[in-house]
Amino acid sequence: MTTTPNDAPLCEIDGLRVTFRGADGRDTQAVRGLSLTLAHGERLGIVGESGSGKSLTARALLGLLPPNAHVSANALRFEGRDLLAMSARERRSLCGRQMGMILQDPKYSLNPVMTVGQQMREAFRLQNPRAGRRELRERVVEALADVQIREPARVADAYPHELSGGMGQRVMIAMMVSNGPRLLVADEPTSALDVLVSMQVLGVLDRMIAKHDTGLVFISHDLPLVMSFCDRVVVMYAGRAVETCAARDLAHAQHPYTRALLAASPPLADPPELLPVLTRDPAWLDEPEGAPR
Amino acid sequence: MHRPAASVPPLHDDDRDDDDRASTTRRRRCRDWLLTDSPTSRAQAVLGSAYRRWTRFASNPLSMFGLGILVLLVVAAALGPLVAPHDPLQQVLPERLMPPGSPSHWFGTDQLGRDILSRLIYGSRLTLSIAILVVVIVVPIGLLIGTVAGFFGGWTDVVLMRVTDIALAFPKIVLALAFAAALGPGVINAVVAISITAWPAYARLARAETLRYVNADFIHAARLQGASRPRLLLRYIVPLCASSVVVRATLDMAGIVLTVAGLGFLGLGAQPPSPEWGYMVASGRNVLLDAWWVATIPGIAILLVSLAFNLLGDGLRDVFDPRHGD
Amino acid sequence: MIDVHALGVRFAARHGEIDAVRGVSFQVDAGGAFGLVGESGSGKTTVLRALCGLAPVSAGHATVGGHTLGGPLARAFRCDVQMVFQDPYGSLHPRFTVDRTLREPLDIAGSDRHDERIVAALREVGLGPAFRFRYPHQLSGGQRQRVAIARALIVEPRVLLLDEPTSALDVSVQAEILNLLRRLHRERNLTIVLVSHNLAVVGFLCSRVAVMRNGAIVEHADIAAIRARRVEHDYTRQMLDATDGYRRTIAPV
Repeated sequence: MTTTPNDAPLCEIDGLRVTFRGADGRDTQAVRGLSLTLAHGERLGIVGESGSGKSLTARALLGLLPPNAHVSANALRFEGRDLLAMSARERRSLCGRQMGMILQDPKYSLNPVMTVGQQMREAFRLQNPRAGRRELRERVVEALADVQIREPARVADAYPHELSGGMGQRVMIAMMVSNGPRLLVADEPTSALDVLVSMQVLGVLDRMIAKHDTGLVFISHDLPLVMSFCDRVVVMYAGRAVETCAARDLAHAQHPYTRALLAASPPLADPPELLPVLTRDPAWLDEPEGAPR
Repeated sequence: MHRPAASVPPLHDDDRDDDDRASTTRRRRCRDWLLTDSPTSRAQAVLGSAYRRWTRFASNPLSMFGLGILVLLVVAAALGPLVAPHDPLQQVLPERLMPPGSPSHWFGTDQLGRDILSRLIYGSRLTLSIAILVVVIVVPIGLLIGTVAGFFGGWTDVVLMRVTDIALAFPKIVLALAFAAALGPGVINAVVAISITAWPAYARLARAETLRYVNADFIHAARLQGASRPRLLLRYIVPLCASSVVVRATLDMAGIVLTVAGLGFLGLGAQPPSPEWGYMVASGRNVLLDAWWVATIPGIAILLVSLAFNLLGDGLRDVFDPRHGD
Repeated sequence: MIDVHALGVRFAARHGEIDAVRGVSFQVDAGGAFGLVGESGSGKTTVLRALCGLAPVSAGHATVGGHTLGGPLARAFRCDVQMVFQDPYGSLHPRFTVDRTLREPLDIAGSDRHDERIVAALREVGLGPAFRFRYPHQLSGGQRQRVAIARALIVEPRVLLLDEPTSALDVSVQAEILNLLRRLHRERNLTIVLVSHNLAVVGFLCSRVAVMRNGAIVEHADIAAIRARRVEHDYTRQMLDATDGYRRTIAPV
């Protein structure tokens, strides 16, 4: 799976804080001091319920937060470079070349008025400004074939609304991973897909990132799925990480929130009479973070 | 509060502080009651929701400016006879064409010696009643046709929308000319002419909103409960269209005010000596270079009122934006 | 209580017609819980809508609680069969308070003692009186689903149809709603038909399951057989395997 990781981490986030100023002037802290590291080629899962701040963390890394969000951190580094100290242009250029993002619903993340081929060509052209039309077209078809789309030439001329959900996600993967970015953020990539299609898409994603040795941040609310797909998992609650551990160790999780989340999914074999209900302990909001292992 | 023993505390300060504190607490309690998370009655919920909308509206200074002007307009119209310094129709020929700033005529007089301020005030009643009359006729008709077309679909939709297209094809001013030629000029005919051409926009808008909601789950749920179609239409769908229609109507008022003024300018609306603003602008044309105020001041009034309606409509649209959950 | 035989539902589409449901047959006894599992496009939601009269019956025969579907439906049908929809954000009228949402079915059915029933319905789904006059945008997803369940049950139906009631909710909220549904099923002796794409959710509430694909049922099974993985059809087996999560060695289909 993962080759021997470099000693220097791909991403380092230390003490990330994201605050929003509301219409009435009051500040809401959406992310409250999150820390995590990502090694090269590693798959890190971020799990949490809605409102836990998981999407915001990834967007803070990519520089995609709305203007009324205020970001601060002790350290926010990518390949050793400080993201917060860069100029906006440098940061955009770095993020565009080295990072990619896959969102939940391809219907909304692909441009509806351009064909798939046109969009991918634009994305590829940014990386190779001197490539000619024919070369780009070849690259597009090759990338689509790489994600196991059966008729890549036909799909390249199709519009996004003509594609099924699974195919749309594969197009997104082709667009974002083919240039070999160092980091890919997948924000609930399979939540809008059927179960069997999800498995296919995850298979394609798996192969692609292994091929390009891309680090992956996989955001989801589905703890069992993340456990089975990722190497390490960070569990977020109310803007902080309450637990960080290897995926295979998650079944023996320490934190009561993680254990409660695991227990809340109904198991297929041998379900209990009543599912254990998650009672939120207010102490969880203010605990010091669990040390990453 | 600790006071040094030597000084005598002023008597009234304490009372005033107490009063202030009491009224602040009352205000705060009132505000809390309105903004509570758990209203205990329908009235409280409705008032709370209205209060939240009001605070959102009031936070936009431009909208408040628009509202201010319109309040002034309504007050002027309502209190007209009591507030106007002179009789708007009385011609005082020795005082013709006095400039604004004159002690007895703040906005000056026109060619026949009539006080412009009084004419403005009386004219506001005309402008306001025409605009309101048009909206009151046009909005229910458009709403009804649009929601019925969107809700029932099929042939009903096709027929109603083609009728709407036909009505949309008539140009306002030309139709008003035709009416004036056929039935004689006058305010009522102007209102009818404008109304005939204004309702299609509301029908289209209502139909678009209806189509958005007609397949929503809550409509299916109501059908499952056995709700009849008129009930669904009137109690479920129409309230949902109401906010966009209200915003549109407010924005349209500006246009209606201008159209009425335009018709008055052409001599098709209110007839002399009626102090309608458009007619005042028209009649001031001849003396524009010597006595600019006769045409310009009513023109500014028209501009301000249109602008006010526009700003109000913008503010209302921001308030009713569904992203805020209303 | 529910008897469906060779049910077909046909819709007019842009080019010709589509058979969304073909030849579906199943029975549910009074007080039973039946699950319909399948992916999107399998027709499971359409079956449910046909069962409550929201989708037309083009072929076959279906009776629910003694009422025959496909023809005109008696008034009593509305009080016998109710449905809870999938999307908590679309199933409540945005301008109605919770009180009004619950009052509407009572008004339409012409019953009495509205206030008492509303308060009782809210209590039964675990919402206190503080929620009675809130608007939907002031409620969380789980709270909205509770209101939707209260609305369905306030007319005291015998059959409750559930269309993916928890798929839009967080896992912790889903657990609460599933517990609530289980309790209500037992206490009121409801007949339940649950549609879901999640076998584990279906397994928690239902005793028998039908797996649908492309508009037809591919397999009927008892929940015990599903749990023990004694299934016949390949498709069912694939769905079962998928509940284990992602497996790296699986070649994509």
